[in-house]
Amino acid sequence: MTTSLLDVEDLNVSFHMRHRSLHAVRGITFTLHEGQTIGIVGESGCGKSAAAKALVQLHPRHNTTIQGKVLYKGQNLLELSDRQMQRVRGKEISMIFQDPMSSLNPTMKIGTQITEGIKRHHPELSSQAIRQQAIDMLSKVGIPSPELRFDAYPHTLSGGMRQRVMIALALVCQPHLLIADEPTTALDVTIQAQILDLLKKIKQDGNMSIILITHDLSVVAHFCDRVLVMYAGKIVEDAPVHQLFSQPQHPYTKRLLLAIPRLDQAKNQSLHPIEGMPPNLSLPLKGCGFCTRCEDAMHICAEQGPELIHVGPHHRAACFKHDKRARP
Amino acid sequence: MTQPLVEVKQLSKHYSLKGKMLRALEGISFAIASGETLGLVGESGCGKSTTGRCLLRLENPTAGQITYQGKDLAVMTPQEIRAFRQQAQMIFQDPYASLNPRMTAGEIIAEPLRIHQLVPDQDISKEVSRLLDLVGLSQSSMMRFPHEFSGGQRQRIGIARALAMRPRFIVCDEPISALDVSVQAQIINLLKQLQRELQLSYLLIAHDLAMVKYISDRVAVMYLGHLVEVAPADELYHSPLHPYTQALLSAIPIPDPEVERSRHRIILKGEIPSPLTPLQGCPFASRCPLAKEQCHHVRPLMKEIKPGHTAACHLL
Amino acid sequence: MSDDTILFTPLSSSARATVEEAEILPSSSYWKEAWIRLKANRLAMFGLYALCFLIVMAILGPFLSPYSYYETHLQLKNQSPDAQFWLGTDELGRDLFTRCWWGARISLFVGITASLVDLIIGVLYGSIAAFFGGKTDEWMMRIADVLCAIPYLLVVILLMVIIGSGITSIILALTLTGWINMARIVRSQILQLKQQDFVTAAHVIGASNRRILFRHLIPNAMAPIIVTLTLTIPSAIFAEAFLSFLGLGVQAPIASWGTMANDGLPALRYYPWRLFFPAILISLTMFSFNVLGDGLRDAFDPRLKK
Repeated sequence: MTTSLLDVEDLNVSFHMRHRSLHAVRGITFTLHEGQTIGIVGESGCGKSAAAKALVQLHPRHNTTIQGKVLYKGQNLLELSDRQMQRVRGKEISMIFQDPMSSLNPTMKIGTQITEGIKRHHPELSSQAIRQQAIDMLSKVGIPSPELRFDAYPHTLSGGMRQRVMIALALVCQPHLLIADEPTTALDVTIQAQILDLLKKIKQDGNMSIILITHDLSVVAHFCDRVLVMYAGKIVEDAPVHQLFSQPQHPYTKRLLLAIPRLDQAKNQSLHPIEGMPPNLSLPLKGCGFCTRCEDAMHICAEQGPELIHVGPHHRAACFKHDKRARP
Repeated sequence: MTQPLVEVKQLSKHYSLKGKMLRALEGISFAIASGETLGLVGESGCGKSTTGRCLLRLENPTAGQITYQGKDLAVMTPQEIRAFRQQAQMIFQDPYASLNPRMTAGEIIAEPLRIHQLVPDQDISKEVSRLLDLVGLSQSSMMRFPHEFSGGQRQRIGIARALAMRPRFIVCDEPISALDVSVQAQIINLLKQLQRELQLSYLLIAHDLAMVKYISDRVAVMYLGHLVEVAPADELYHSPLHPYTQALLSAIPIPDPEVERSRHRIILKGEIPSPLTPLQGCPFASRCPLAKEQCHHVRPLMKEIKPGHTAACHLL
Repeated sequence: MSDDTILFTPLSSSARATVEEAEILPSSSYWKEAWIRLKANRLAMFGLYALCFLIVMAILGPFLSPYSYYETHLQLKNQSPDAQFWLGTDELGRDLFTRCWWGARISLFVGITASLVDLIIGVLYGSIAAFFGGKTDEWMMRIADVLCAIPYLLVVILLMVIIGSGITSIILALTLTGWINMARIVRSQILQLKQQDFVTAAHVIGASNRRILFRHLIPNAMAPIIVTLTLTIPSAIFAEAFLSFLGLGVQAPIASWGTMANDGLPALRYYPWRLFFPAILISLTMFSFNVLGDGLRDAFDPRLKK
C-alpha cells in the first residue's frame, strides 16, 4: 500500500464580502498517495479552485476563513505561519495556473525568475550552477534554444511557451506534489496536447503526485488515475478513472457524461443537457446541492446533505440512492 | 442547383499594424446553402472570427467578394444594407459582454424591433413575450437586468435578440465556449431546435470540434487565415484528408479513458506561426510531419478530392 | 420506520421547482445596488449630509438673519461672534453670518454651473472623438492638448480684463479649459466600451451611430462621468475662491467665500474669525465633495476596491 502524501479532512473555505459570505468549499475529505495523479473535476463555482488554493494557503487571510485539516506528510499545513508555508511552497508543493501571464513577472527575464526559485531553496549553490540548472529545466520542458530564451521576457513568448516556463518554475526544486489549476484551458487544442504530453512525461520521470483541476472530463480521462467530482462545494463522487466513466454512481456524474458530445459518437445521438442551475453558495444550503436538478431526487434529498459512502472498491459517492434505506 | 444563401469568393483581409501587415484572411472561398449549418473551426489566429465579421459587413474585405442571396455586400445601397441587417444576425461568445448592462432583457430584445419599426409600438411587448418563450426564458425576465441572469440565460437573451427580426442567417461566434459544460448542451439543443422551426442557416464558429460535429452539416477547417479542408461533418471526422485536420482531431481528448489511452496521437512540434510574417508556400509546412520541399515554396490550392470534400494539400 | 419510507420516496418535479425558486434573489438595478454600497460608506455619507446642509443653508441662511449682506453698521465693525451677530462682523460692520451664506450661494452656483458646462462639453467632445476614432480622434485630442498647454491663469486674467469681472465671466473663465479633463476621461471610457460585444451587437441589429452613442455608450460611461463631476466641483469652487482672493472675482459688496477670505487676511492677527469662517466653509465643501466622489467611485465599481 503506497504511503499517503496528502490527507485532506473536512476542508471548508468561506469568502467574506461586505454583506454576505460565500461558502465555496463545504467540507471535502480525500487522500492522495505518493505517485498518484488525481483529477478534481467540476463546473464553474463548484469550489475546485478555491479548494486547491486553500491547500497551499494562497487565499488572502483577511477575507477568507479556512477550516479543517490539510495533512501533508503528517503535518497540518493550515497551522503553519506564512514564513513556514513559504518554505513548503516551491520545494514540497508547487502550483501552476491557468493564465501564465498573470503568474509570470512581466518585467523579469524568464531565466531570472527560475534562478530566483532555485536560489531560495538552495542558497549554497554557485550562480553558475544555478544558471545551468535553470537552462536544463527550460530544456526539459521543451523550450527550444534554452540558453537564448533564458534572457527573454514573458511577453515575447506564446501562450504555450509561457505555460512551459510556468511548469519549469514549478518543477525546478523537484516538489513532491504539483497542483495544476486548469493548466491547459486557455490554450489551443494542439498546444494543449503538447502540454499534457509534457506533464505525462514528467509524471513518468519522477515519482511526483499531481492534482489536476479542470472542468474538462476528457482531459481527466487522458491523464488521471483517480477522479474527484465536485458540485456545489462538495465532493459528490470519488473513483478510479476507468470506473468513473464506465460506472458512474452519482446522478450528476451520469448526467454530465451524457451532456458532453464525443468526437467518436454517431451524429444523431442526442445530447442531454442538465436543466436548471447550480445552487447559490452565498445562501445556506439545505439538503443535496443537486436536488433541484436530479430526476431521482427523493424527499430526503431536500432535507439532508448526503455523505460520501462506499459504493464499490475505492469508489465513493454522495447520494442517498446508495443508502441502505433507499433499497426496499 | 439552387443558389447558395451566402457565397464567399477569394476573401482576403489584411490589417496594417505599425508598418507590418497582419494577414488575417488569405483568399478563402466557401458557400452556405439555405437551411444549412456550416461549422468553421481552427485555432487562434486562424481568422474564423474575422470571417464571421466580414460576412456581416462589420469589416470591409481587402480583396474578394461576399454575396448574400446573390447581392454583393460591398455595393449595397443603404436600403439594401438595412434589409440585410434584418436578415443576417449574430450571436456572440461572451454572454457577459454581449448585453448592455444598463438595459433590461425586455429592452434588449425589443431594440431591433424599435429600430426597424417592424411591429407597432403597442405590440412590442407581446412580441418580446413570444421571443422569450421561444428561447425558454420565463416572462419575469423582461424586467430584469443582465447581471441577474446566469451565463446560459444571458446567451438565450442574445439569441432572442438575434431572432427578433426573423432573420434567415445567423453567425454564431463561439456561442458556447464561455458556458459551463452542462449548460452548453442546453444552448446547442436550442439552436438546433430553432433551426428546424424557423428554417435558419448558421455559420457556427467554434473551437470545440466535438460540439461542431454534433450540430453541423458541413465543416470547414482554417489555419493561419487559409481554408485547408471542407467536408460533410461525419466524413471530416472519419476520414480527414489534410495533415492539419488529422493532427487537430487526434489532439482532442475523448471522455473515455479506455479509448483515450489506446489512441494514436499526432503531437505537432512547434508553435502556430505569427500572422505578421509573410508566408510562402503552405501555411502548415513549418509544422507538418509530412511536409516536402514543394510545400515550403508553392501554396496548395483547394481541390475536390472526393465529392463534396475539398482540401488544399500537395500530397493529395 | 415509516418516516424513513416517506423520506426515501421520489420528490416530484413541482416540489423541486419550489425549492429552486426560493433561491432566486430579488431584482435590483445597477443604481439601486450602487446606492446600497454608498450608504454603507460612512465617510461618503458624511460628505453627502454635509453638502445637503450647506445647500440648505445657502438657500435659507440669509433669511434666518435680520441683516442683509450689504448692510453696514460702522459702529459695530470687527465684532467677534456674539448674540447679535452670530459669526461676527467685518471691517464695515456687515454681518458675517449672512455674508457667509450669500458667499455659499455664489460659490456653489459658480462651482456647480461651471462643472455642468464642463460636463456637457466634455462628454460630447470626448465621446465623439472616441466613437469615430482614427483621424477625427487624433485631431480632436490634439486641439485639446494645445488648449491645455496654455497657461490657465494668464487666459483667465486676460479674459477678465476684456469682459470685466462678475459671475458670468468667472464661469466663462473656468469652463474655457475645464472641460478637457472630463473629455479625456469620457474618451478613455468610450474607447474601452467600443470594443465590447454589446456595441458590436448594436451595429449588427442596425442601430444608427447616434443611437449607439446615446443609448449604449454614454449610459455605460455614466459612473466615471458622475465621479468626475463630483470631483470637478470642488476645483471650480476653489478656483473661484482663488480668483476672488486675487481680486479678479465678484465685486464688493457681493460676497463670495474668496472675497471674504481676501478681506479677512490682513486682519488675521486681530480679528481671526473673519478669515476663519469662510476658510472653514471652503474646506468643508471641498472635503465633502471629495469624499462623496470617492464613495461614488467605490459604489459604482466595487471591484476596484478589492
